[in-house]
Amino acid sequence: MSDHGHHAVVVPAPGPEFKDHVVAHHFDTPEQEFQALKLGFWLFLATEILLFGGLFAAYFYFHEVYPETFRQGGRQLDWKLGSLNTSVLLISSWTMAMGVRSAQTNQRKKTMMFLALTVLGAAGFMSIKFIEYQSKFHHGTLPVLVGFYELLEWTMKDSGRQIMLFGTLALAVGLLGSLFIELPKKRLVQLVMAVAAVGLFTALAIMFHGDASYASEAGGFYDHQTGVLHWFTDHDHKMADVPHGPLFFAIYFTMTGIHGLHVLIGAGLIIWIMTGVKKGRFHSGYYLPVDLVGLYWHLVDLIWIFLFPLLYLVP
Amino acid sequence: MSSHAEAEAAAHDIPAHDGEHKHHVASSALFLQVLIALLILTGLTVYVSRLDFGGANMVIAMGIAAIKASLVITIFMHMWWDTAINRIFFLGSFLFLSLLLLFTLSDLSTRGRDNPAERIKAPVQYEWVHPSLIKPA
Repeated sequence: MSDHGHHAVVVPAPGPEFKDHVVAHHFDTPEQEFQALKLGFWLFLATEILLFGGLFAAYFYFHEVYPETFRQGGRQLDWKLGSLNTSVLLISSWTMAMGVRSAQTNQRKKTMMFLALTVLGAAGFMSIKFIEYQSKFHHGTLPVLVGFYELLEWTMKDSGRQIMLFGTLALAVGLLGSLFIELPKKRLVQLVMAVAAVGLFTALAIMFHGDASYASEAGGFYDHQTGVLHWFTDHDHKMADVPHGPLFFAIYFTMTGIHGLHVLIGAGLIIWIMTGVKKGRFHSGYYLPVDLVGLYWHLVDLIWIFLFPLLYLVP
Repeated sequence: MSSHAEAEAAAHDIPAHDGEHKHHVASSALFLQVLIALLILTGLTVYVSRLDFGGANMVIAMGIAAIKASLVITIFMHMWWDTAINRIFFLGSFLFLSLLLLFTLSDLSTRGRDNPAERIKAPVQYEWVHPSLIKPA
């Protein structure tokens, strides 16, 4: 078939409602394709563990240093909603496992049903999460979006900040411009500029974080006298008794936020898989994409299993 | 024989046709048992968080979470039946993560042991009370 004398390897459909699977040309057998892609996906999941692992390390560090802040913070969260969300996610993990099983056993309608239930679980989880975020906003323990002018004021306070901000902007403009002009060693110049821009931006972001603290009743603002940018509110003084009150909510919003992002991505992937199931692409001979998206979904569940007791029932 | 019946037969360890690869298909009953176990363990997590074991509360909470995570990984994620290389890749990430946690926490827990001036841990001011037992102000 191909120019190199290879013939396309085809996994025949197990029934009329399914489609044949053509193995990608750079693989010799369906099994080789399956194992290679699956190994790659496990490696990706390992990087996910390390991503969340860094956040968990931050949690344990600050929990050890400021136990009161975490206890007081944990009390601000609703453990009932947290338990409900844990159950929703565990059940959706089960429906996902059943969905993969149905695909393995050529039960197309059942696969469709279990995947739809999983998406429903994701929607339920995010809805409950939204209610929780809203109540936090009501109490004012939410990071406040800092206005453009406040950010500009904060930047202008210090020549180092100015250099970093305008340096980042100049490098970004330079990078964009370099796409249209001829340069000797163009790739190398672009690489150096990109690294410098990312470095400056990171330094700026770190300085910005170092300044973050409680905001006044008015919300996020820049304090001219102290030169501090406040961006956490605490209208009801829920965290007034403990040092570094915003710390707990910084960790709470970062961890649940990144986790929530994974839930949304996972739900999107499952919907994408459902379109393939509808077309009959997945069956006992080829169910790898269903399997891999399933693994991703279980990872989301796995992270939450640890997040729930750490945030809602702060030990 | 329908395609469904064939795949179900494969699920019960009946040898596949030669040349055709078959992967493990776990039984529905097992998945359901795991789900029930996970939900019970979630209830247990909430229950033990109300009891005061002092510093052991964290160990117990993380222990139960580790059991739940193991169930998800081995059964839902099929790691029990997966290849050795996949297990090494994924479980290896936990090994490296444990290095990060081990050195971070051992540093913290030993700081200021000889010289209290080096301590960075904030003093504990309040008795621990379960969130559900606190009346809203």
